[in-house]
Amino acid sequence: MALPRLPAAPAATYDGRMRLQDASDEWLAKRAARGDADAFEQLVLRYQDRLYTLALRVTLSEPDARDCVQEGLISAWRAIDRFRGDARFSTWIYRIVLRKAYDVLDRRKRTAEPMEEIVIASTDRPADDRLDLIAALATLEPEFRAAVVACDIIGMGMDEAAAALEVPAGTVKSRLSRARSRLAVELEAYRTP
Amino acid sequence: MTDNGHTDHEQLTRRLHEQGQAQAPSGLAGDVMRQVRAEPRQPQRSWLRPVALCATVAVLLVAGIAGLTRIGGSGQSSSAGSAAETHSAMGAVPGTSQNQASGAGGKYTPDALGRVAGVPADKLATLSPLPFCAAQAHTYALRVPVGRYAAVSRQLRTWAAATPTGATTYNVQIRRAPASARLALTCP
Repeated sequence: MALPRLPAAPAATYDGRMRLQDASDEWLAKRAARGDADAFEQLVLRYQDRLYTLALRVTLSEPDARDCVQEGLISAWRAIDRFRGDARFSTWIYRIVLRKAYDVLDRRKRTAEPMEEIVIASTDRPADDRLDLIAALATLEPEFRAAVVACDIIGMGMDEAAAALEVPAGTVKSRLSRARSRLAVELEAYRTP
Repeated sequence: MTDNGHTDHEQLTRRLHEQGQAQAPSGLAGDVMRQVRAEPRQPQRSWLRPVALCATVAVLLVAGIAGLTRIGGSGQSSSAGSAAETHSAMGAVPGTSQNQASGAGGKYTPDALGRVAGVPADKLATLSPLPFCAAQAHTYALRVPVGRYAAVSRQLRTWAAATPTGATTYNVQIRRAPASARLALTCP
């Protein structure tokens, strides 16, 4: 099935008259590397929702997700001159935020923070089926959850997801398949009275 | 996979895509940009990296060439080197290291070990008959048997220090000779 993708960044290049909103990610990243904060702001506005979704669905906590995105974007600003453009900007920034999210999970594991509280702390729109979906997602292990979030929620291609998750594409594919099967079972269980 | 299963998965992925997305908190971008603008980055100097690379390559090349030149030069100029040492050790009693350096070839060769300037001709003639040297009329080489360097050198310097005004003088290069050899003045 061809999944409807989130609005992609325009591939246009800047010719001096084009607005920042129309510039490509890579062009904005180059400008940001030269210290142009406006160009970086454009990237922040363009990616904040997708990054927040990624962090929220992996960490299952709104405050943690917010911290991950904020810290990730600040890290990206500090390191953007090391972004060489041989990968897509989106992949690079997803990877940064995902690492922050995994750090949160590691920290949580070390401090034995109870999982239930984190799930309950979510304040998604109170549509029942949506809550079912979020609850089912929360039953998956983080690496399986990350694969589902990357491919099915954010709409990354298999290769981009592999690069963002820093695993081979085959691994993403198998994780995705298993995660979907388990989600289907979980959602069926929610439907059953 | 069955058609039914396939449809289930399609529905699931559609549902995930529609319901799984979240909106970033309203103040997030503002907070990030406040922090970003508070720590402005130094503009990236795109020319700096290639220039640094070129400079490094140039330094390495120069160092390599200099090293090769040095190796080649030291191989060719062992005798020239010892001559330079001789001039620098003018009037000094030779050390063992100089002897070892000169004998590095294995074959015994008389070696210049020191130099004393302004030795009166009449005193010099008491050591050995003065040979006729057309090319360097003011310099003689004195071959000194092993074990007598210090004494001969001291004697030459004493004579040189007490040279009367107007006396004919010669510069003397002291050269190493086997112990069995006789003290002899030769052309340098």
